[in-house]
Amino acid sequence: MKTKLNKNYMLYFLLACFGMFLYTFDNHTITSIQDSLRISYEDGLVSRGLIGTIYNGLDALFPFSLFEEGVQVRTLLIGTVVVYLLLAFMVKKSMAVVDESLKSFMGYFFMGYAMLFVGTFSAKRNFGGLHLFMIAVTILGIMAILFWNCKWLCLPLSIVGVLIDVDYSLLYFGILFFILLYEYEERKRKMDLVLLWITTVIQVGVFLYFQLEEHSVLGKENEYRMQNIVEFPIYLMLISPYLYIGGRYLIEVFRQIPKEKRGRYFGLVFGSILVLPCFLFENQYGRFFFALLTYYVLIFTYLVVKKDVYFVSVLKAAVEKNKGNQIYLMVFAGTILLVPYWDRHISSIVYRISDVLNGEWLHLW
Amino acid sequence: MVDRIEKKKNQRFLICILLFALFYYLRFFEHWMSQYNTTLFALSYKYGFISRGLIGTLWLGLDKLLPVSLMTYKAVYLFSELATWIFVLLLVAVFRQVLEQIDKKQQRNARYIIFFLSTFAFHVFWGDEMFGRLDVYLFILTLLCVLLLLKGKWEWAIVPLCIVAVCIHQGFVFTNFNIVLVLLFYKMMKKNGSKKKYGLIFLVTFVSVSVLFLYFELFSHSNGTEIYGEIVNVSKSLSFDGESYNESIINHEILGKDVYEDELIFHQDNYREFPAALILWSPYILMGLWFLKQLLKNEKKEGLFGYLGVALGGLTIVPEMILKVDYGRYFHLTFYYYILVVLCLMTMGDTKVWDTLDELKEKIRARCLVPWIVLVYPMLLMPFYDILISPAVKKLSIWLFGEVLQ
Repeated sequence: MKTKLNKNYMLYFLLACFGMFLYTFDNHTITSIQDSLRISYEDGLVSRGLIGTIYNGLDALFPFSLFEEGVQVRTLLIGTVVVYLLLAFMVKKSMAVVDESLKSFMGYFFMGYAMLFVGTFSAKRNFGGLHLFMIAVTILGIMAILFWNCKWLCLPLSIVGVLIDVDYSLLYFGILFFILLYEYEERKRKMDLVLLWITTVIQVGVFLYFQLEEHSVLGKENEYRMQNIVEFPIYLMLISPYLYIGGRYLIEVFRQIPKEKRGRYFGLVFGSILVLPCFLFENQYGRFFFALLTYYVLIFTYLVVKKDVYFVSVLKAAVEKNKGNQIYLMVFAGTILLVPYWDRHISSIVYRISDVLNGEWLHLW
Repeated sequence: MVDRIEKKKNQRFLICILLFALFYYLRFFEHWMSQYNTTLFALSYKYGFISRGLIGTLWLGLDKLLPVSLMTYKAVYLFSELATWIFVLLLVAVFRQVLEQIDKKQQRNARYIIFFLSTFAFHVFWGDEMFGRLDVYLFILTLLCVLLLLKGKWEWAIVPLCIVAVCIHQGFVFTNFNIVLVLLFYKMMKKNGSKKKYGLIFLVTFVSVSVLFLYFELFSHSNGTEIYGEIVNVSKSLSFDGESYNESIINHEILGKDVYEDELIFHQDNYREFPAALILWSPYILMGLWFLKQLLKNEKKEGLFGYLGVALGGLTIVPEMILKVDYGRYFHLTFYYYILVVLCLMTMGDTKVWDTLDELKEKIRARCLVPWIVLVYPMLLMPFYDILISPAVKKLSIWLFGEVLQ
């Protein structure tokens, strides 16, 4: 029966993703994303030019224009579905190796994240957006380490990531950095250290090149700053149950880790600090919060699949203690009400609340 | 000790349900009331004993009594928001009653059904199509009847409550009345039940509501043309822009016009959406049919009639589906009816319902590593609208059958 349950899991996973797709798909993408597809390397090595270059290349191959709206939506849909299937593949591989006692919990965990992921990237504000492809590249990197024994792929993948969007270095590179650092700390192999250093140096180099080339030392987008400031505490309040559960778990894990082994987990904090400049100087708070969420989800996935002794033991104890607690049913269901994450505004529910607050009392915009 | 632990679990659970309801309010409420729903407040008994006139009459009465003018958009909007919260809190009160009354061994299953019902119930009146709709008062009155039936006290009050409901909206006969009738019928058919008492309440309620329904449908439009102009002016003053009003409602309720042709395009939407909805909801429809089949299986005469009533009670919506266009409302009402009735039967100590639910739970657990997804999945197929069923259904219907040409 356990094998049947495990086999059926992916069917329910895909059904949940399909349901979320129906819930949020707008059959349209916003102008800024449409414009980003026109940026290509025809104008030189510009930041955010990789996807546009590929798109323009595909456009040249077909007898019809890929920039015509209906065709563009269908083309982006193909790319989006491919990324969704990539996520599903990672989940399938992960579920196959996760401890039997954690399968049910991880099943809900992956389903919850997948619904947030599909919901965010099917809605118009992020449909076909660059963040989708940055996450895809990161997932490939994690799978290369966990399942394909090809750590070296992290180097070209991280370069591809920063070529997709310069913000990759701040938003998603931290995940691969943490994993490579963890891999090195585990076995202390020189090759792992070399790979970590080279990947980091190249990443920083490309990031600085694009920042200087654009003369865009983060700071252009100060519009909507007021809305970000108002939305931020609202969002924190809405996700407070998740912060509480996650926070308690991490504190318990860190209590278990001996002092001499804490170095390898340094990346957990480092990665989230890396996102800070984006929050301070740009205003795409919806995308940044989703990136932060993805950061912790993918790292947690890596550690559980790797069977990190501290993360797994604390998780097992927590799962056993809270088995059948029906309040978690609402925690799981609540993820659907948070969807979709937007671009400048954090998400639709946060935007609604801030809009009412502003209209009735604040009058700040 | 065990009782205290369960009580605390229930308290925590109900607080979370309230927070869940709040989440729905924050997520779906548009903070706007449509002209359709403001126009309904313009209909009152000032113009005769017309259908849907009770709320407007009470509103007019309050306007005369209070020193502030209530014939404004803001007043109607705030009152509707208050009414919707009353519905939510009353539903939570019903949940509380269920958890207090139900057998201890069924608490867990009851909490699952309560959550499942919450996903259907909490969102529906916050959307801009349904906010301020007269249906909310029907739901409030039905829940009051349910509370009385669960407690087994003041059950004769069901008669005036249902009369008030049909005066608010004659559609009550097809939409929410089935819940009250089925529960009364079930209690009547129950072994060791009080047949005479429930039989009498059932009969009086059914006859009085039916008479009023027939009157509203056939005789209440007689002086429509004389009052039309005034009603239009009052409707305009209640709308958000001071100018809008809903012509279709006034044509139907005041002039007695048949609006079928005007609504033809909506019927076409319905015919495309209906099969798409059946596809998306098919797992739940199949589960529901299996559940009802198990209830009816091997059942002796009295119990059989009770369960037959439960099974067929959901079909009272069929005439509405044939003649009218609010398929979103009808889908919602159908699910709401079955889930609420099952919850009530569980609370009333029906052991067959308990056992069948346990069996269904085990079947789901045997097939699904993450069984909670069965309870959560409907959230993706909602919110229910009024004419259109839901965004998910609309999208699938367009993929399958294309858009309706305007």
